Amino acid sequence: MIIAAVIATIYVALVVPLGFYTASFLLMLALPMALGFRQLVYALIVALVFMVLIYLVFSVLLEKPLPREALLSLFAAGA
Amino acid sequence: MEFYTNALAHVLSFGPLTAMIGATLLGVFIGALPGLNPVMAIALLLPLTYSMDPLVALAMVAGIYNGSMYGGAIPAILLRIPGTPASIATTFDGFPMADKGEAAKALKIASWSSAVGGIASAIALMTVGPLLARVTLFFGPAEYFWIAIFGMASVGVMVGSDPVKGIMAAVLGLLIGTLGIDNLSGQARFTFGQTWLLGGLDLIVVLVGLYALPPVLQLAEKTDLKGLSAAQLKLTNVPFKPGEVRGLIPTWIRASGIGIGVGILPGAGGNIAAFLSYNAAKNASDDPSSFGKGNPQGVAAAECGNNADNAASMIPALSLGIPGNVVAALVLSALTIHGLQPGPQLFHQNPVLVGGFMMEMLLTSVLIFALGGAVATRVFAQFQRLPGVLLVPSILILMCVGVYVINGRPVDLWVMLAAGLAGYFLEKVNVPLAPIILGMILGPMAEQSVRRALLISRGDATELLTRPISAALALATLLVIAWPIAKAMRRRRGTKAA
Repeated sequence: MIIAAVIATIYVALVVPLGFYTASFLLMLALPMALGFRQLVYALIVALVFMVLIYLVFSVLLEKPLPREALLSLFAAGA
Repeated sequence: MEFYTNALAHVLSFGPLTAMIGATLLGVFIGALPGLNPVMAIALLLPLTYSMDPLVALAMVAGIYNGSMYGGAIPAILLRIPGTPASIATTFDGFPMADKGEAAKALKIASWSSAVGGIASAIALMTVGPLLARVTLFFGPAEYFWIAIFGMASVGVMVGSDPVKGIMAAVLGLLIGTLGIDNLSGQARFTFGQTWLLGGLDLIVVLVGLYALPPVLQLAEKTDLKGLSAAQLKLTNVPFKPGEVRGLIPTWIRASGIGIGVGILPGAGGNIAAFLSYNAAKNASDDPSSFGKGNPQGVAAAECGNNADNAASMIPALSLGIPGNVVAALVLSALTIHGLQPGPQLFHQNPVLVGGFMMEMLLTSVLIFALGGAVATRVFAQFQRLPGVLLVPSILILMCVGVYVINGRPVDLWVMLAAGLAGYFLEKVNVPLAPIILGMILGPMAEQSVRRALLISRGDATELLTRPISAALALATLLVIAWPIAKAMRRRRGTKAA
């Protein structure tokens, strides 16, 4: 429980600076690992499917603004 | 009658219909996953319904509520793990049936019983609700004040094991409800100079934290790394034998009656309805010893009872504005989100919405007949192969998106997190969470009514007690609080004498 609560707190702290999808993707991998889950490929597939679902529902269907991706602006700055 | 035909026309349009089908499916799925519960699902869903038509939003609430009550039976029967607290009684005979190789039949009985219970309950809601609402035409601010106090007191006393902790939780909710700008004077209260506190704490933000984070943390504690194996989930469809359905009818009638009765009372929930129905079926049976060994009647009674609780629990919520359980409180907050004042005025001001919601409770119950076949159930059961640890981050993410899209404020995420952690520890020390939410909803209602009543009476507080209905309500509140105290005193005296 403490591990989960700490990771949840870190996630909430990072979600705005990193951007919603980046932070969430990392959470989907980090939290199961921290709790002792060792099948990285399985976690990766579930994480990808889940992120695509969230993207379709919130960004495409409902058009809700979510915290912007820091990675994207990094690419934009490099180009 | 025109009330319902009018509402039905609105419900049978594309938006509400698809919402009902989708949400009922989702509800069955959520109920089937142990660790996810209907309250959490509805709390996660509410933020998304902000931009939707209220009738669509309520269709989703109805679908998830009814669907998840049935969905809880799936793991209860297959694995003896109740998917929701309300399906504990289903495990008694459901799992022995599955053990005998009758899993598919048990699931079919469960789905039919859930549907029957839900339909009976919705009919009760549709008949009693409007009648009760008519009584409230005589209500003034003094009565509304007492109604709000009565609601908080009864839920605080009846939910959970300790009435004192329940009342404490309600007071905590009241305190949270006072944050922000005072509606009558415009004075900022308890904001500590923080501008984001001026609007008070958003009910939904607190609710998502309080109701979704504790189960997620508990799920993380269990660290389920594997999920279920495919072999545990083999099912084939079996048609009912002639006469089999007829044999269940007396049980259904009994369980529906019990479920509806429990639903109307504030505080008691689906699990109590299921237990009482199960016991009633056992007592009425010619062969009580066959219960617990795979008697289909046991499954029928438990599942019918817990679904019959659903719509009935909306009766006091919709007609009086007193939510009897947390789901009813969620429905009331869904109404608040859409700018509708929950409470007795609702029937008069928004007949299409109230009637439509009742219709949706009915139609989603009918849908369970269709979803209960072995084919649909087999699909749902597959999701139980997903390891629990992967669900933990998924729900956390859903919580954050939901909370963030309400106001687009990062600070809400912290409020949600704090509420969730507080909720986790409060549950650990047996403080019920439902009265907190009710305090937050009913507190402002009580405050505004009492101040309005005092304005009308020019500050004469006796006015709150001298009107006949307000006096009766005040007395009822007193009884609700005094009754458990008297019971505890008598018990103490009893142990001293012994």
